[in-house]
Amino acid sequence: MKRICFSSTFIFVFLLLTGCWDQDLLKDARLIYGGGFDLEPNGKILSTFVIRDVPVSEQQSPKNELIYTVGNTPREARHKADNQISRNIRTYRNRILIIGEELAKQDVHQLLDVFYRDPKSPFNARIGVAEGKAKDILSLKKVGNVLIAEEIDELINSKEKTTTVPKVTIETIFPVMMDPGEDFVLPYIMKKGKRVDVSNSAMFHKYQFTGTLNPDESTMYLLLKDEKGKMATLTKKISIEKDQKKVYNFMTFNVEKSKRRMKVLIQPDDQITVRLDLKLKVSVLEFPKDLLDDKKRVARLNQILSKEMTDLANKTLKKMQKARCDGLGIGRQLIAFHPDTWKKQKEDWGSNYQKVHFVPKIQVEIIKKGIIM
Amino acid sequence: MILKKSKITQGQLMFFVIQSQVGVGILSLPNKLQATAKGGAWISSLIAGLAVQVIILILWALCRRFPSDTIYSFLPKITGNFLGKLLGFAYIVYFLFSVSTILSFFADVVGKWVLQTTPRWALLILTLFTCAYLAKENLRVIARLFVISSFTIIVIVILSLFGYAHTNITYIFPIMEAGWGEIIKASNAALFPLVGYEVILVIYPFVEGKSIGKLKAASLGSLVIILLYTFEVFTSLIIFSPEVMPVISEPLLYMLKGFSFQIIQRIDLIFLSLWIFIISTATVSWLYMATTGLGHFFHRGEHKKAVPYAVFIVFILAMIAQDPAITDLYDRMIKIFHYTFVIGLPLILLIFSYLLRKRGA
Repeated sequence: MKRICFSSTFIFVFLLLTGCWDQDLLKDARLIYGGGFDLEPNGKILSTFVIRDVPVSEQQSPKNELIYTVGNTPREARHKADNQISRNIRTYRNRILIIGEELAKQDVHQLLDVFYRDPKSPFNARIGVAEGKAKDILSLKKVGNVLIAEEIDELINSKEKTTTVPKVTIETIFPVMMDPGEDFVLPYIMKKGKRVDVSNSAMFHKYQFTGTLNPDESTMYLLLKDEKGKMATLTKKISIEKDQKKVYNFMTFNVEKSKRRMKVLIQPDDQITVRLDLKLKVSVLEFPKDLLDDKKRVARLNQILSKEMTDLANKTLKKMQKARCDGLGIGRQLIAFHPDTWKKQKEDWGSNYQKVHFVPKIQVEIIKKGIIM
Repeated sequence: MILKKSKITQGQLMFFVIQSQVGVGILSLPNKLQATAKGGAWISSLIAGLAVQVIILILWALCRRFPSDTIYSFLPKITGNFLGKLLGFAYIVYFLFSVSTILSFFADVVGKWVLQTTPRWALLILTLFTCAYLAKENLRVIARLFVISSFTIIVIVILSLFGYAHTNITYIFPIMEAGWGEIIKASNAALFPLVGYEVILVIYPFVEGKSIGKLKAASLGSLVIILLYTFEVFTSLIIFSPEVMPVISEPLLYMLKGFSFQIIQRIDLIFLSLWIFIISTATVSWLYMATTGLGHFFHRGEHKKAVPYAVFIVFILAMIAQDPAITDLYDRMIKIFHYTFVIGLPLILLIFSYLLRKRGA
């Protein structure tokens, strides 16, 4: 009796071990490395998928294949792509998601729903907005010898380190996007001939793309947000003397250390003033015009740079206010520390934000000047 | 009556309480608390912890009067034979029901996050088999495993520290947004995920040493868990903005989903695997409580014999709870059960035993 019992359990256990319902073998999968979404004139979504084909022999280099499908939702488009390709499409290695400009002006939140809903979605993929169409950028297939998805991914990665574009993934923008008191900024990806350029940033208000920041402004925004990467280089015009016609009238410097203080003040008449104090310690990378041996001259340069940078900050903040992009999270500060003011303002925060009075004050101090004086 | 080999030390009691308490609640607690208490959710879980300490005090005071009896054997001594047995059965039903609620939630989460195409019965059977294998052992063996498996809690804390890569502390402000009333209301909701400490009703007589030491051990165990829960709630609060929280049902898993290392792409899966370990220990603990009762009534104290059919009952109950409507019903029932069997009844029993001067030998 006992033996029968034992052996039947044994067989039963073996039946359970025959396989797993959830096995998903790599050999049955086609991996998507990059994706792009654009708006079609008829309101549908044009999806571009960059699919990696790993060659059988090691001598051949991997190739990208592009599939374009049109669907009502990103997921429908993916299913349509699945119909056109052998094996199963899998997205978990996706590294970059590009949204076309026109589509980004609609509603990004609804577009990204599937990424937040699906447990297997590539949550840590980078995300950016394309100038024009995402399709055109991904259709480059290769930049030099690098495949397009890797190229964009690595390009954004290096631009994050130089404080040119914000460091964001699909995951990190989620809490910010849903928060009424803060807006997010994404890298703005442009096509330059046969290459890709990532240096500008795309501003959003709520779920919509509302404007761009140029490279300098973008760096300034990140400094104001206290999100300096490893480096942050800027080139500014220096005009001490009157000979402004000279060509080499510029200084390139790198922000070594940055310290920010933000203070949100509420006046009795509900006027919101934001004081932004930024202390930058910079090292001079290039300054062909003059030597930096004189303390007085350095002090003068500090002054000029401070003014230039404050101007840049003013310009950046104006642009952000115009785009209604509350990238610094002023609303967030109101929610947290001035809830009464927020209650009055939250109905129309977008336009109330435009009335916020920003007072940036930037102090630049040159601390390094390279190996010559 | 109690065999020497099934005695456990007070340290083991602490881990027993810890392992029974950490369960399914930890994943969804931040979401539930935030819904009512907003930024003050972490205070709610602390308040709930305070309440738990009071309840533990009540349970302990009750058990202390019957130092060599489990709840099943001291119930008849207080209320009389018939009613005592009836209540004993009610406790068994409560314990079995709790196990099945835990397991059905477990199957839901695993089915949702990892094994989407694996049928529910397979998940349940695999878990229940492993649990039954441990639950049929004597108390000492179970307690030893609980001590070892408590290290997973440390790993869980370390993993959730990764979440601190993107935090925004302003998300918890204004802390008093909901007001004290709501915060206390939320702490009521936090009581349910903290259940498990009632294990002392059953294992009290098996613990060595003086009664005050046992109280200390149980309180310390529950304190550890309360701190863990508060930490996890706090972490979730500062990672997800108040508007996202209602959307995410398992914030702890969600925040880990986006992190990846060179070797491991999805930390949430690692977290989930550890969590499965913790769920099974909680299941074992509850199963042990129920089968001890069944053993007491039907098998002359041998709980081992009750394990197979107890597991079967649990399996059926957990299979029924697939529909969201039924899960909701289970949820409501378990709350009522919890209030009656963990707070209400012990308090009444304690008062009665004081009034009637009933004491164990």
